[in-house]
Amino acid sequence: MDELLDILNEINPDVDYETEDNLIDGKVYDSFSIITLIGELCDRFDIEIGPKWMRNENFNSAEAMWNMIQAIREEESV
Amino acid sequence: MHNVLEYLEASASRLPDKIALACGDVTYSFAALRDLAARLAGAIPAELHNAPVAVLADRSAETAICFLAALYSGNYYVPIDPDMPAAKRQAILDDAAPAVVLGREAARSALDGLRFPGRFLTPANAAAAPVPLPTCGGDDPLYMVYTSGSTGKPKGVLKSHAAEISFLEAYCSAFAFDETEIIGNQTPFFFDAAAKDFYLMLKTGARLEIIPTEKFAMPTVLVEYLNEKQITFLSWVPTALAIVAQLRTFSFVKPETVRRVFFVGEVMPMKHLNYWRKYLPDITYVNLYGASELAGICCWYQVEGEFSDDESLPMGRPLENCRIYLMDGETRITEPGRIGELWLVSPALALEYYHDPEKTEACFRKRDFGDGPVRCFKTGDLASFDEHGNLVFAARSDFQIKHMGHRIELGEIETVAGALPDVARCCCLYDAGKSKIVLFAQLSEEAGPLTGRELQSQLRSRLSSYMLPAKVHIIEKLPLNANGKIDRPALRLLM
Repeated sequence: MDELLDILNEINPDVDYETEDNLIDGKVYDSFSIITLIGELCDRFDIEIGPKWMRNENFNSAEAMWNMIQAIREEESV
Repeated sequence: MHNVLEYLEASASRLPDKIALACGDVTYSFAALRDLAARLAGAIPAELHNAPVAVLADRSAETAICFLAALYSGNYYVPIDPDMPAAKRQAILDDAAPAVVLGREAARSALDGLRFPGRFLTPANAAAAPVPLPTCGGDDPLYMVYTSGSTGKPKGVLKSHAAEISFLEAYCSAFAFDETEIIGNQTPFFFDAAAKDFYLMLKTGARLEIIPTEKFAMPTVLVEYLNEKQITFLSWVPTALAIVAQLRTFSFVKPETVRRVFFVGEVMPMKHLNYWRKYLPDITYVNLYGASELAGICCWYQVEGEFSDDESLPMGRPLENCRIYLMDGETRITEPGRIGELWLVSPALALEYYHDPEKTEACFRKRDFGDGPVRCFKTGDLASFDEHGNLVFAARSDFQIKHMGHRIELGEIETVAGALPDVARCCCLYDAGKSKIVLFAQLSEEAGPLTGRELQSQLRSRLSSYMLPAKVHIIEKLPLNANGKIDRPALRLLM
């Protein structure tokens, strides 16, 4: 989780990721931030985030992203 | 045709109940659009004539109503991005000095803390009775958009009814649009490129679907939205199209109703266009080229044949209302392959740079190309002809760039960054390959230890988001060339 918070802070350090749960619906992150974020998540966690994971609810908070990363890892290990 | 409102009057008479504008669940028919705009115009002081009326142009259907209300009142509109930094909003209010600002109640806070002695009106202030169609039009001003200025001060470009009408007639003649079109609007209303979508709706009776901003964050959600709204036509900045390709969206969901995709505002990366063409080969793709100093666009190229990922798309040929000339100094270039500056001649040219007769004089000149003197505009874009007579973009002749669909003077970013107390000198470069703005900053002697990210954070509240450098490098001393100027090529090696 710390590594994820590092990535998020690199993209926008002005957000409190412990409490923010409206990153997409609240327009905190735009499409350009998402592109950067997805590239970083794939690189740093060595995962493939396919289009089916691209839903607002998977990116609205740090916790939702963390859960998504775990789910992708589980799926990839099968 | 004298006044663009005649397009709306005709569509509202022909198709009164057809939906003209939609944003999420909010819709307005053509009749409702005409009625509400003409009634809101009644609340604007009648003594104003051909005067600027500012509009807090947020992403809503009501913004379009405010534009039209300004026009029905016999004035012209000046869109202001309510989310741009306060200093920039203030600079536009100071320069345009509107007596009235229109906007939604939700946007009113964009005036908080600003010097504005005039009145703020919302659609709720609409008068009981609509005003009649005004008599102005032709060369009278229609709207003024502010673009980035190298001094840090935004510059207003004023366009007329006649210019927009000239463009629209040529645009519709080239592409045969009609009322069956459902336009998926991406470009914000404070952005010049949005006028194409807006006036196309008024003229043809098509529906304009304003796609909510948050849909663009997730391409799969975006494409599902296009399908839900049965959108047929996209005229987007390449960046928005590229994001859909970058995230490999079409392996999950594809647009089902889109027939035409146009792109404008910057160079379309061929790699991403090839992705679109591979999955959606039946769509017509058109590359548009224009300038803020012209209503609409002036050149277009319909993509045909194969292009490799590292090839550039031509800008194509002029619309029927435009003539183009490639010039090397005062000499006209006609042979293929030779690069020159692009000059435009068209009735769609802007009237002037507002309050800047010197710049207007320098950029809009009278010149004789062989059939009498005509007014022309020097674009500052360098281009050449290919062997088929198509124009091909080469580069900008100055430090102006196109980024995320916006025209940006790198000098403006340098001006804002250079004004920070911690910055002694700085230089801004554009990495066109990665579409990234990069700032190099030399810190002042008084500055404490500061990282590039901290400096970027300071800039976040002072620059529009599309102008924020993606990377800020702190360097001990900016390299200088023999003339004592910042050595940009040397910095480019550090990018």
